[in-house]
Amino acid sequence: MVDDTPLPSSSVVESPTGIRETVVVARDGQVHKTSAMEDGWQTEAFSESANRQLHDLGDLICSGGDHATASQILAADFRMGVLLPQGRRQLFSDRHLEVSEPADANEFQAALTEHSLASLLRHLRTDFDGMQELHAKFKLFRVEPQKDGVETLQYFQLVGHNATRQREQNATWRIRWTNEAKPKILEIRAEAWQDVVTSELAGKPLFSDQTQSLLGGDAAYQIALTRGIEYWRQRISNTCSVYNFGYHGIAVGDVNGDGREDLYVGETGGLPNHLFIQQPDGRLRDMAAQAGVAFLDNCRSALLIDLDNDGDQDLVCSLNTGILFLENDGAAKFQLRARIASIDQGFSLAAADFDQNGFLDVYLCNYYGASDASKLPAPVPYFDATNGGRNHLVRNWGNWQFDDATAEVGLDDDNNRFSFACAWDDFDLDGDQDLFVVNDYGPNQLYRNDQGHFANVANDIGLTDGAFGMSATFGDFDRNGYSDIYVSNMFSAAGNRITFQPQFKPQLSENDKGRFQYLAKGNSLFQNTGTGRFQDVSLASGVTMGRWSWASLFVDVNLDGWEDLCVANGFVTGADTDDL
Amino acid sequence: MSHSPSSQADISIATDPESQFQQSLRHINQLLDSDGSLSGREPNCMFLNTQNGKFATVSGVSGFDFPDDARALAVTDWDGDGDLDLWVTNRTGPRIRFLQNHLGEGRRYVAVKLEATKGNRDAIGARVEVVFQGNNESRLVRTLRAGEGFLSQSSKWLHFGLGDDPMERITVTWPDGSEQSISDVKVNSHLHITQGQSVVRYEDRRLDAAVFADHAPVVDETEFDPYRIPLWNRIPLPRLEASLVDENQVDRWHWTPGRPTLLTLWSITCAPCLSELTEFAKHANRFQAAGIDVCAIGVDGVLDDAPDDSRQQCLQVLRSMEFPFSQAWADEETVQRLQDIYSLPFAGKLDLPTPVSFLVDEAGKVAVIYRGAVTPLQVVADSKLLNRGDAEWQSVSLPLPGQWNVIPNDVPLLSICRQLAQRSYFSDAADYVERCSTELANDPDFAPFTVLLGSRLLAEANTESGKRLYRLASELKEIDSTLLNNMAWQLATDPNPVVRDGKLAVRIAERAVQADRAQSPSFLDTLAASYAEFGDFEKAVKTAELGMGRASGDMSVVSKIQMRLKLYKKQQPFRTE
Repeated sequence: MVDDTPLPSSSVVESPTGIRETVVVARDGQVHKTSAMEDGWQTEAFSESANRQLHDLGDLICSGGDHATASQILAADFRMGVLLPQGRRQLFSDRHLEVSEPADANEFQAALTEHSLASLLRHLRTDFDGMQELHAKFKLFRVEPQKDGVETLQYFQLVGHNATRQREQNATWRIRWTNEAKPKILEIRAEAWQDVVTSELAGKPLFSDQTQSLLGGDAAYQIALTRGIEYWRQRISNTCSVYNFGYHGIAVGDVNGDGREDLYVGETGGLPNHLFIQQPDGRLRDMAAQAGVAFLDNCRSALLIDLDNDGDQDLVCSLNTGILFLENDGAAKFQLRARIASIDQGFSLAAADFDQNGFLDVYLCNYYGASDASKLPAPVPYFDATNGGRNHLVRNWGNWQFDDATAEVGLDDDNNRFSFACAWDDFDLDGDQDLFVVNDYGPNQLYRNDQGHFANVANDIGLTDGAFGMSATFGDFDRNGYSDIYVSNMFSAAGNRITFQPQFKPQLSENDKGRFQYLAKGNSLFQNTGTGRFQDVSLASGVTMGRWSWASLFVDVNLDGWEDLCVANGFVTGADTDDL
Repeated sequence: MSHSPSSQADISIATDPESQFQQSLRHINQLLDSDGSLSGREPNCMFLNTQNGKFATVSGVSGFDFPDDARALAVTDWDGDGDLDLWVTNRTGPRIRFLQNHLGEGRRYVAVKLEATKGNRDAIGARVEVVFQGNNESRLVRTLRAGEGFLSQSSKWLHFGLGDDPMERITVTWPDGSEQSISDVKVNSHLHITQGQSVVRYEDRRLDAAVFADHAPVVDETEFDPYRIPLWNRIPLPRLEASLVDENQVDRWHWTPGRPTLLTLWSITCAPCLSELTEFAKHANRFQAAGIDVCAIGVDGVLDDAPDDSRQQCLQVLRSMEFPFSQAWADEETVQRLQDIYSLPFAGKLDLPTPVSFLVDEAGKVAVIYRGAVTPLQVVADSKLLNRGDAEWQSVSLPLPGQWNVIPNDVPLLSICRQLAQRSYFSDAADYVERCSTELANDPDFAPFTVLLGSRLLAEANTESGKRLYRLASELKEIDSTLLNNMAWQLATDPNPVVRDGKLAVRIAERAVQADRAQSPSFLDTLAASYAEFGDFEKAVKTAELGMGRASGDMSVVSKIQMRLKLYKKQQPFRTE
């Protein structure tokens, strides 16, 4: 009777072999594990051990090495190939950046020779002589058991700087290990290598964190934004809708017409959204309360756009309690003009005048179907889920009259995905705005706009992307005059390791396996060929490894006229230091 | 991943809530709720276009590679120096960063702000092309968008890095399809273009470099701060005194209604606890002047490891500081009740630390929780806020002022009762239900819970309390009539005479019958049995006959009612076995 399902408590234990397992013990005494071992993936257990060894090797590379530890990491007859090419070819060079590659990739094919730990470290540090604050990182993304030993593929990154330069080297290594609880490295070969050096920046990075300069004087920033969601989750009642995942966005626009750009920043439930007004010196002051937009409801996203064509920036604000349309009086005082409570809180918003009636319409991505917004959803099936939310096209008739045009214009086709984001652009240059929608757990859509009516043509024009999509951006990276698409996905090292194994779902065809492998591949770049079709150039262009990516944007960071890419990533960092 | 379904047959497995895949998902959710990491500490990435269809990874030298849980990204030339700066939002602290680009120096650019006079005034959807002298092959095109990436909207200024190429003109294709060309554009400029106007307006947007004083990046070091949590909705305290351990040497603690009380959990092995209690003793007059009772509750051996003679040590310490307030020892159950309150408002799992204090208002509701040591000054200041109205309290209980679009729901207080009942403290659960019935009434599970709890109390021969809960449940606005029927049936026909209550049974059964407009034969059957128990056999007979009529030939129902009808005609009530 008055007895509820027991709540599990979780704890972390060390198994006898020293392999970390996360164990969930329910109060009914049942033990559930989410660990490499539990899933029967011996290779995952191996990867965990190998990763520890790589981590230690990284420390040695940075510190210069302690010879006593050599036998802990390297096998007695350790051998390696050329890891640092002698002949180099400049791939790119401008005032601040120089990128080099091996002149001859065959150099890596040279015969392996025996080495000591000291000579390995010396070899790797060659270009970093006299540099400080070295950082080495590995990402192990493939594991292949062999007859004698185990082979792994991993990315290796080494970064350092001196008073005039920063240097970064990225390589892909193939390592052969002994197969034991604490594996030792038998061989290392390089498969790819790239070197980046900066100049004229006094040894500093390309960008510097100047948050304090602009926001340090603002109390709301100091109180609310210097702290993470975890902090607030322990202090603000959950009834105020404080969600662990921290999905809160940002919009840039000049709200008071002074020519300076301002920011609207979404907040967790229980903390007011921020409207940071730029002062004449560039610093920011939160004026959300004065402007009437300090909403305490959970806010995921917002847009600053001119909804009524009166020359000022109005506000669209997506709260967990409704979508608000607020009118700006021109001096950053906002008044609620329309509120759509029937539409669930979505994720990304994007505006365009899809019907060319002169007023900006808003498309809203709705991720969750019926599930709890504070949890990961339960998609069915995993790679082609159709139990997500329904997206909406809110049509603007002018004079603050809006209606839901989704069904009428054909956007209810395939409209039950886990949609995170969308973007508008005219991909086929026919004069109207087309809509790209990015979905988790299922294919993305490109809704081609034909004079106000939409048809999903993604599959027909080469935009099939079987990965877990988080967001998308348009930009002409190859300068052919047509907008290309970059899609944020998940790069999963574990997913890569598992799906390339022979024992991964052995009943599947290679084709079906490929679909799973693609899930973990990482970000995608689709080149607009200008013939109405796109071409997947993700792997060839070298932009897949964006990790667990959220916002990605094309940004020409060095003003050479060619679009570069910035990727904001990372899912949930807990106090627990080891990742799942 | 290895549990993800891949065929139609697998899909049915995946939808089954107990499938491995769904279980894995639940476990991941639980781990994320209890401070686990999933793709955490990932450095942001930057890829440089090397102009040959490829990109080079420059994350390590970018200064953008913070290991934050980053989310949104907006691009704007904030400092007006011609290169593009970044605003990033994060899940982790700091939750916003401004990253200033240093690559602009000595480079050539032009930035354009559009105003449309036909179509949408922001000119969203416009396409701008920079045309270079003598080179028509490589186009430089930007389109104006509002909202892209993830939860992000960038600047409406369109930026063009020019490289070394000489610019010939700028061509704008406006949202209405019309085209406009601007020649003789100044390099390294920000310019406004209005649709249809050949004169453009230049603007100097460069900020004073002195603003950027090269501050150190912000680091979130607040994780272990002691903190104060004013509760948005106050939480009534369940009975506590019953489970406090009495000892000869110490006073037994009693919560006194009408006075705010501070409960402080402490242990002898906790240094901050000792300095906190010393402060309390030193400033006892502050508490007294403000009319606040204090009780120090020892949790040695329950929350913290305890030496064998911990209680002796505790008494000694309290005596030596001349601790003037009441003292008590907590057992497991007392700590568990405070733990239930401590975790209730929060989504993740939060364990009680030491010291931890609860400020209870005069109505017995926890208003503020202090994690870590608290000063008498803070407690006194908070006690002065306790009598403010709901709206004012709720505004002071949040870190910053603001406005609600929709006021949030109450905390799910019912879970406190559930947890008490789960641990078989039925009468304490009943006490909580009765005290908090107003707050609990909005919970859709309140009525069924109260009925179940009432039936459990009746079964345990705690009949007075059980009947009170039945009465309470039967008077709720929202209650399923089947629940009413079941309560009345038990009160009318239970074999145990102490459980039976004809008067109450009639009241409840009448409500069930009314709610159902006298349609259900079962409800009428119950009402008849209730009348019989009450001694009104005339009504019992009439009601039973009506019930038989409503059974519309369902012989199993008819025969049961008929059997009882015979009893009523003999002036006998019906009893279950």
